[in-house]
Amino acid sequence: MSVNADVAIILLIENKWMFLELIDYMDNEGRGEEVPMRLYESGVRRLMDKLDPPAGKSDRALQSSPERKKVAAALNIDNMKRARLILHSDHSTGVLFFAPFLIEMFRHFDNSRLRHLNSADFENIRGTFNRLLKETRYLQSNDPLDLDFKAHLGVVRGEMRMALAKMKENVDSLQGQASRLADLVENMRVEVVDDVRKAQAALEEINQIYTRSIIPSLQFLSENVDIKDGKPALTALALIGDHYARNGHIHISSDILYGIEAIRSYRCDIDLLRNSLSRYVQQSEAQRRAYDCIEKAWNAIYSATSDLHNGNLREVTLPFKHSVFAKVPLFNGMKTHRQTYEAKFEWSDQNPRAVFKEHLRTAVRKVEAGATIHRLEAAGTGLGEAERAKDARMMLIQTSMDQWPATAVEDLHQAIHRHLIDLVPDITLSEVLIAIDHLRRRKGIRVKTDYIMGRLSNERQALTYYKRHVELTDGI
Amino acid sequence: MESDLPMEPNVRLINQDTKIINRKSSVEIYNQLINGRMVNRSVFHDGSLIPNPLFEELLNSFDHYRRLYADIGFELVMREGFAFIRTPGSSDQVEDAVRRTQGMLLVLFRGVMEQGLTMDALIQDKGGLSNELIEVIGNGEDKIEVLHACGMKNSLLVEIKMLENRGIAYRNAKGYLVLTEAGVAFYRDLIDGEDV
Repeated sequence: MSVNADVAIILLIENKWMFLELIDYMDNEGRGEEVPMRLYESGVRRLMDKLDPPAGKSDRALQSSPERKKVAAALNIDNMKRARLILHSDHSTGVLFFAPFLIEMFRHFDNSRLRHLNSADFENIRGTFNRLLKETRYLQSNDPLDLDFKAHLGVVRGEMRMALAKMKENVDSLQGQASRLADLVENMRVEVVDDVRKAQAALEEINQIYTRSIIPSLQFLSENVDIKDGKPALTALALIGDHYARNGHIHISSDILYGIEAIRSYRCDIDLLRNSLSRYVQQSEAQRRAYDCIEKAWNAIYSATSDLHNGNLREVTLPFKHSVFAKVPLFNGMKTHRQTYEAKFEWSDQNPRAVFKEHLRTAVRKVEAGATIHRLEAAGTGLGEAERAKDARMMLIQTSMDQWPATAVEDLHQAIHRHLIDLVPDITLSEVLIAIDHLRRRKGIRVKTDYIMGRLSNERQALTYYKRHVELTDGI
Repeated sequence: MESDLPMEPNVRLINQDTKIINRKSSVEIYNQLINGRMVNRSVFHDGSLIPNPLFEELLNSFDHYRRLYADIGFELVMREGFAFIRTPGSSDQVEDAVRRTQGMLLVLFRGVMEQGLTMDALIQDKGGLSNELIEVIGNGEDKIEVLHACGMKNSLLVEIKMLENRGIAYRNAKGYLVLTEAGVAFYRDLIDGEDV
């Protein structure tokens, strides 16, 4: 059964994963646009299984399935050749080639699969512009009605548009790939081997993109460089524009200058890409260096160990002064470790200065009054009114917090503030923090930080904080 | 002459400028340093890394503490992110501790690389090495030989506790082993010192 090209293309677009897999194969294998027939056929079979799952169905039912029949007829290799979607298939080597427009179309569906330009592509564009510059200088006529002039101008415009399109595709491709690879590196879990392996492969790929695409792109866009053979691409194009301007074709010259400016504008995007990728390039370089250094240090110590080895591993230790220990003298002379140590005394929590000052205040007065023996009064009892008021306020906060019914709240700061506002007159935001600190010591409660910013304010102050929530543990 | 600075309990004004010594912290610092522990910039507390007040105290009054420890015969060393004291002269005990520490760290570094991980696994708090992985590393024949040659007869999993006791490594929220600032400094020195 013959199926038209448009039906086959729509079917492929609706299930584009199948063709994107083939593009991945082309990119990874490096054998151009050649695809093994068995890979294509296996993709078609999987597509049929996806559209009409075979589970619990007989062979007869599967063969008569309209979905399967449609896919088989449309994507059959012979039908695809009839529809000119496959240009060539070779049964002896088992490979086939798709029409280039089909591959390019699917590449456009996914930025990360767009083809980016390499040095050879850029050199090709530069060569074309230099050739056109030479031809422009040797044009026989500058009459706009001259056929040669018109043909040449058509080629110049076409090549300029082509270069612009390629540069745009190049930037889209680089951005797509950089974003995909950066995601792999950033989302790596450092303790999971598979993640690390994927991230290292991604870093390698970033390195390749950096050296084989980003740097050549920037070199291509440079205009003030000496090149042995010809001119830089944009300079050549600018000289073509100058030639037209000198011969009175100002509008043509303007068109060319606009084209140059459009191509030049991609430099900014590529610069941004270079800046963001250079971090990964450095990371890759640092990892490689770390690996080499550790390998070298390990080889040194293992080689020294092997030299000592007498077969039984007993009483054979490397001498302290061995050169392998001298390379990193960081911990040399560090104090030996003792497991037990108890502080001989503890500093009291009283403020000795305040206690002594108060003692003097009371004692000196008594001396003047003719008292005989003066004793230092117990700490706190003789402190000033302000201290007493402060202590009483702290006590009130603590008592109020002890009365707080322990509940699982989402925003502890807000909850405590609401609780204290009625119990403690003129509660300040710093006192809310003290209350939370007191609450943390309460049994049966676990305070956890959410790392979500919260804000609390009253007439005088505002507090920005990480939200905390309360979890009730078994103790309550 | 009285200072106008507000005085808190447990603080001592060491001169008429602004240097204030927290006596409680000072005792705790002494407790750690004299027992051969590193005082790191961050400590693991309540499930996360928080700034270490002892390190801040040392950093703020470093000159005072350096003189203090010099007076009792130690060199107080402050590196980026951690501090510890060195004993003048050398003894077998001291040299042995250095040898063990270096040997164990190299075994860990090599093991991490062999397992296909990067050093981030040992450096980042969100990573870390599980006990199972440490056992796998420590069971390697070459690792056992090096541990023996550095004076360690027990398995890596047992010996590794020395790194934790000394503040060179700690256990993160998952219970995985991670290097502290002191451990990371050794790694950085190794990288900077090697001419690759």
